[in-house]
Amino acid sequence: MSEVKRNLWKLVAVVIIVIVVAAGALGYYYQTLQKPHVPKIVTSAVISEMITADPSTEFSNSIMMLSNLYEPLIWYDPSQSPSFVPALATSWESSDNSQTWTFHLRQGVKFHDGTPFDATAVKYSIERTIALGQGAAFIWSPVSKINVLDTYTVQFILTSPTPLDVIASASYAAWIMSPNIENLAKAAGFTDASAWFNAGHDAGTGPYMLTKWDPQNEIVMDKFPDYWGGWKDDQFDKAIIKVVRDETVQEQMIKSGEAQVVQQVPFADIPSLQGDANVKVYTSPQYQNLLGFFNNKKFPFNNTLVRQAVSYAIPYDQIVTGVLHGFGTQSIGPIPYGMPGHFDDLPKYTYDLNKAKQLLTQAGYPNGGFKLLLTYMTGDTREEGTVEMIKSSLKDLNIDLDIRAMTWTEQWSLAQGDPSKAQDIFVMYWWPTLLSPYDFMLNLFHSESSVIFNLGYYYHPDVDSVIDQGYALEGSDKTQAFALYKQAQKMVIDDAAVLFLWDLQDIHIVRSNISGFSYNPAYTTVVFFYLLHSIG
Amino acid sequence: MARGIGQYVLRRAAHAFVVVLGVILITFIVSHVIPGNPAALWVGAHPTAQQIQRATEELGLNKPIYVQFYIYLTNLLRGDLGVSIRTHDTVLSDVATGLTATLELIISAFVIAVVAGILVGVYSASHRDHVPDHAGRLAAIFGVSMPPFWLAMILQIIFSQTLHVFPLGSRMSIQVSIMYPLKTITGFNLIDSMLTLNFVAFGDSFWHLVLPSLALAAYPFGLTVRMIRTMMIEVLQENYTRSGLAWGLPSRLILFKYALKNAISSTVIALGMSFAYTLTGAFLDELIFVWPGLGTYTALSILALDYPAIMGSVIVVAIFYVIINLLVDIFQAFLDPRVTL
Amino acid sequence: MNEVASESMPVQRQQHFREFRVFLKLVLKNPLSLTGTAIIVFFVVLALVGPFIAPYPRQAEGVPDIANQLRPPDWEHWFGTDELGRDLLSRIIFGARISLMTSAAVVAVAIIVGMPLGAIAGYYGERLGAVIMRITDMFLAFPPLLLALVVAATLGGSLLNAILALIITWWPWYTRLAYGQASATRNLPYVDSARAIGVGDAKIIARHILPATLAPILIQATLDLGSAIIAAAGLSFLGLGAQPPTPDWGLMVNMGKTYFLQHWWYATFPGLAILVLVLGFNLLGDAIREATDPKLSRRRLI
Repeated sequence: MSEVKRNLWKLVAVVIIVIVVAAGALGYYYQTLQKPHVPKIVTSAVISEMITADPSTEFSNSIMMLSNLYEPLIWYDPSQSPSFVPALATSWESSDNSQTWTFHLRQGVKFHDGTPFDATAVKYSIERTIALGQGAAFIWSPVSKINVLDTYTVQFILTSPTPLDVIASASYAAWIMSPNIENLAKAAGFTDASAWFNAGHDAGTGPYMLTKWDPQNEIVMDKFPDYWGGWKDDQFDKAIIKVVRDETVQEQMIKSGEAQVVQQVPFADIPSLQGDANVKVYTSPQYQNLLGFFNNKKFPFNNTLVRQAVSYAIPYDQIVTGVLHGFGTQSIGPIPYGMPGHFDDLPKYTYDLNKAKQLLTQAGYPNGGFKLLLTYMTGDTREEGTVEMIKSSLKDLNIDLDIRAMTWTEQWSLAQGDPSKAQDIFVMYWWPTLLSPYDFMLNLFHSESSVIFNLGYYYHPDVDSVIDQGYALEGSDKTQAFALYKQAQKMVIDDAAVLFLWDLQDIHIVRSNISGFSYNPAYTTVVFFYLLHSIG
Repeated sequence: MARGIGQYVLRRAAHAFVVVLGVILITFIVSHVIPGNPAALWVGAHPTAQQIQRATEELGLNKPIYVQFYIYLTNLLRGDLGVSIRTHDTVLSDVATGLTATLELIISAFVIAVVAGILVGVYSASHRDHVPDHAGRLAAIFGVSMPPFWLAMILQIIFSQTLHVFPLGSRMSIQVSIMYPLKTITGFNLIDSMLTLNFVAFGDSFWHLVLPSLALAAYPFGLTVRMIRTMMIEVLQENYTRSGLAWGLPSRLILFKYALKNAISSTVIALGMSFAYTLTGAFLDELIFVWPGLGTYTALSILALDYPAIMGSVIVVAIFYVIINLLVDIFQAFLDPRVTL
Repeated sequence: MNEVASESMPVQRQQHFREFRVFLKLVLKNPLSLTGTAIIVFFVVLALVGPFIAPYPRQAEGVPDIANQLRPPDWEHWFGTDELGRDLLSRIIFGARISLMTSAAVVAVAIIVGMPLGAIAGYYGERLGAVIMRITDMFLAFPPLLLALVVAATLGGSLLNAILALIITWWPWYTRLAYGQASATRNLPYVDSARAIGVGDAKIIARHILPATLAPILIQATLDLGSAIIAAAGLSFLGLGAQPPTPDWGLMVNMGKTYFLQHWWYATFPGLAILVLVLGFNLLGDAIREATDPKLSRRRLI
């Protein structure tokens, strides 16, 4: 090819490239000029993905979303007094024996599909939940019959005295949905309402409607204009929940403003965020705590003295300041701080090595000499730091603690096998399904015929009966019921049934140009977007 | 010659098929040694005993293991990869969603690696044993020695956290995806945004691709430099010695072009073989840059012991790998028919 | 005939020695490979002596010091401290031992398993060889880290399981290498003559085939030592390797990742250690490969 021709081709190539780049730049500029109508959007970053969206069966992370799309009969808000706040029910009463409950419903409420809300809808929702029998449906087990007394009055008949207000305000299985869902599902070509829900549809009365369902990545919700609570100009038209599985990315997002609400950042970095004027750090009690279940059926923890000794060898304060960086408190008993049923005057163990050695000697093992296995959840940095501190501390008692990280299912399998081969200490979180101390006491300390969550195999009939008595009275005589719960708590604390490690604090970080945020520990991880207002 | 190649291709394809079967079997065996409880994983946080029992039956976990394997194989032939125990979606849809995101990442990384690699490799070869050569070789070795997850974090610290030039992760920023929503056609953000003339989305996607691709490109870059440099040196030497005496020194440019052509074919082979390594490097890369691709999905599935998802991802990835190897073999047979014998 | 068979052996051995010395000189003359060797020697010495010179040996083993948590590098802690206040420099020093032992174990066992398999497959050929190689190919079809990830996840995260998982991933490469060499060697004249005089198969494999496969395998092993460190670090990074409080480098990078936005040193230094050590192996291995195999046909590049 001759010199001239080659140069000509080079020139043509350069001109083409310049034109393409210029066109691109112009297009970009033109597009930004167009400035589409920008709705008021609030984005919240969360650490865990969601899985299903059926309000009857959901028992996992989707509560973050469902609580903005649906409403229960009653909300539970510990910051208010009384704590039970009207939602879809404006008032309610129970018979003397707590076995008949009558709810008076709010009028003028519509579901997102246009159907008016009434007593039939309540009956439909709860019966569907009970019939499907999945997730937390078991909370409704005392219900024998639901009667529609009139359009806005519904009555529950129970088989035993039960605090139905606690159940109706639960964060799972208590959502009210439109009775039309099966029709909507069939019309959209789905086999049943469940499939329709899990494909990304909602049928609630809440302030937001589900627009985009990509549970591994993000959920988009748009405001429901006919919401009975009404709308102000500075509220948000769109709410996005974005799954960001990395704490450091969440931190960066809140600092840059890409997300306006985040849920989990490294605790060590929070002090610097507290000094940042663009964000505000909200801390509040969380109804979640970390427990270490002693294997009560295996040597050496079948010996109460040994359990007590180890309970005195845990550096509680160092763990709270060092691992939690102060965003938590040492547990006093099994009920987390802030939750009704938590009593500050219950006994608590402190870090006292001498006492620990004394108790060990009393038990007959002055030089310790045990080799033990502790399992905890892999990938959880707070658990990891805690168990490392425990391991190091137990060395002072000449106890060799092997700390092993496992997935939840692996740990659980191990514990459900032969107790003599199971771990010696099982570390795990607990949070309530039902907002009552009964949830903790029943699941964690009550005797079980098959191992579910009483993972320390702590079987004591005398404690069982106190727990059961408490629940029987909770619907009618809360004071007496709570006194009984307190008694049961004292029994398990004195017995050192488990290691009471720490109560978690909830952290949410919100951009300073948003007001109205408040965290309700009864609805774990939930951000109620309706409460948020944009300022400036 | 054509028949020789044809037979070779058939033989290799049959071989590949047997290998894939073996992969499925091995993965099945390995993943069913799981001491966990998939039914518990399915049901969620605080299940009751009945719920777990019901899930065990629904998931077919109470059948003997060879029956489970048979069921799995027959479903596989129908294209049914099962349902992920973690996400409750079909594995097929999960994998398909993640695949395009990962491919976009890997292809970008390879483009960077090849372009940069050729430039550095050629430069290095043409100044053999002088300082530029040593620098080039050092760069190549650095690339190959870099722990990919560490490089990713360093890039984040420098360019994202300190200099605030590039974003910390994700494929697109939230604001852009709301204000200039990107229609998904191929699943490749760069292509889709071009097709829909969504320039803002293009720019945003491109910007989000930079750091993850750079982190992933280090290893193939190193390989490419090495390959190109060696090939070029070899060819240059050969030709120089042979033809230099006979025809006088040929023009350097023609020599370079000839050398480069040969070097590139070897580079293609090298890249094909580094594809697997880059694929697994992508897993860690995706986790760090919170990239919603197959790597994140596979890593999460493995960590959750979600065996249908593990099987599905591993099989898809392995099939890719086998196909790439097959293509590389065929390519090489094309270049050098002696291999077919 | 006896003379022919036994005479060629010592002559060969002498030749091997001479070649090796020439080869050694060639490699060490190159500045890059010299650096590589120096790095490797440095880390080996560190692994041996380190525990005695580390400033905070108890912390390296896991004893926390909460009061000093997340300190940036300063005169008391050259590399800073981690989230439990432990000195990073000491932990990195202790970690050298772990990294070197891990990669040595993986490569050594993979060779011990893979080399004889490949030699047998190459020597016998036909059906036995085909079966062995088919199985080998199945394992080779897995992208390298993927099989290790799945195995380590199912066995549970621990250093031992990670090593096991990596051995399972690595052995087929050596089988294939050995197979290639063995197939070529079995038809050589001196092997033929040995067979003709009636020397047993096992003896032939041990004395003739295996030594022939050794050279390419050792070259590959040098490079693999580096790759094994990165692979093991990758597993630890995902939580599938050594568990806390082990001062494993990959695990430290994993922990450091949570803090790196405001505490850059935690993830940086352990990762740097990995980089430098792997660099050392690669520099040396690269030079060795250049010296012994200038012409490339198709070869494994990992």
